[in-house]
Amino acid sequence: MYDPLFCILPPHIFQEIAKNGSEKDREAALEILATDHIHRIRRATFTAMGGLKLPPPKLPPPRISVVHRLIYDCKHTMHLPGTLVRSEGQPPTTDKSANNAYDHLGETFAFYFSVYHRYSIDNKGMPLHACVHYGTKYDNAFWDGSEMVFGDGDSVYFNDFTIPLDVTGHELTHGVTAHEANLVYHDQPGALNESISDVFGILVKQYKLKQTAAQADWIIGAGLFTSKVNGVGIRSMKAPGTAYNDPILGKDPQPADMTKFVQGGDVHVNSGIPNHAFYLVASAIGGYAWQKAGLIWYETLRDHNLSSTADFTTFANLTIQHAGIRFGIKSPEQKAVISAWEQVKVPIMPLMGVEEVMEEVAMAV
Amino acid sequence: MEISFVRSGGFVGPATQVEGKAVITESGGSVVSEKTGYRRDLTAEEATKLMDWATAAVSKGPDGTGPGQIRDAYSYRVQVLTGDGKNTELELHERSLQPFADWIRTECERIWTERVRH
Repeated sequence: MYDPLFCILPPHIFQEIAKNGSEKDREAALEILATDHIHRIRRATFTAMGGLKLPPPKLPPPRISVVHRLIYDCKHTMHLPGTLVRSEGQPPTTDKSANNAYDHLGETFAFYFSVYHRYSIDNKGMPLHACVHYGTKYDNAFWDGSEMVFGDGDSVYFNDFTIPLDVTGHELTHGVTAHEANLVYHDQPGALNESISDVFGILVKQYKLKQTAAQADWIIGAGLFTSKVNGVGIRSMKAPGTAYNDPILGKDPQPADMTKFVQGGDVHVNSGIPNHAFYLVASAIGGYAWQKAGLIWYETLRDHNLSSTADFTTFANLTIQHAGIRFGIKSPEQKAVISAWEQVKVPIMPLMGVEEVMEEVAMAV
Repeated sequence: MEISFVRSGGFVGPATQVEGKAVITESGGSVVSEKTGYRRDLTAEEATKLMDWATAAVSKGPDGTGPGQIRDAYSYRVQVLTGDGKNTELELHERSLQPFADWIRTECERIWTERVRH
């Protein structure tokens, strides 16, 4: 991992700076360490076509993990951010929503830091802000570019939006995407943007619950509906289109593959297709989904070749490439990724060295 | 003047979509949502303000706030049909600042609340 032939200063130098240096030096060292990992992946591309298998990252445990959370109360207005009610390190308040938001921001931060060594949304320690009690009985949660905003739900069909952990993971991941590929929010790139938020939102939950791919429910927003609704959640990554079927809310409109792609559709609709692809990859590989499938997706999101207007095919091709780089050409992991995209009928372009793998996968299906 | 509006987007997706139409006459107006059976009569004062706001929004165009990096917030597609037969489309967002946008947002919430109540 620490190959002195390819760097001037090895990573352990920066780790010592981070430990012993001034605050400014520490920040700079942490940034270098965070980006160093992806540059090593890029160098590996030169030999990846020959089938170099890279072991999973064995970086030492992160030494610095500083989350900075601020929770605000909008007091049922639509004025943001509202009144500060809890700061980092303060004990729980009497407001359950504020405490949920505080805990879930921390759990999302911990997930990204522990699993992918990402230091907050921007990878530079960005403080995490959440605003609760937005509006009156507001049935929504959103990311406004710098903070999370939660409604209380109407209590008839929707519960408090701070309840499900994956909602927070989903929204904060929009911030991560904005600092990486910055996928535009319409058509296929918009559906990818939404899917990536669902993917890492559900992984935050699975990580917290220590669930394997087989144990997980793969339901986005489980716990958001009241008992009045005929549904298990907002979206199902395992079976798009089946999450709910209710007289008032209608039927879950998500397609599971490209034959049902909705032209001009809401970004939350067509996201069902890449969502299902991720579920298929994670299930085929097995184990904890964040370790391999999630890593492939994360490294794809950080790839500079993923443009802001990328379509499903472009994203799929890059996941196949990264699976090969990380786990080896013709590895079970790469075959799982190819098979998944073929099952959801997203066209994939043969890459050099991958044609043979695709033929093997096609014969096996 | 007729003002048609559709609220879409949101974390939940199409399940929380809302549609409505406001019709403004010389003596007042009303707002209806056919899918939910919602109806609200407008006072003359509110109808006049709404017409003024809509006229200003049409002439000024978007206030420039745009969706930006906002994700999972609602967006509002609005069509304003004026007395001269001109139909103008506007796209408003959660952070749009015009009083017209506020009225659209508030009315969509009223329609949604009514739908949920039934």
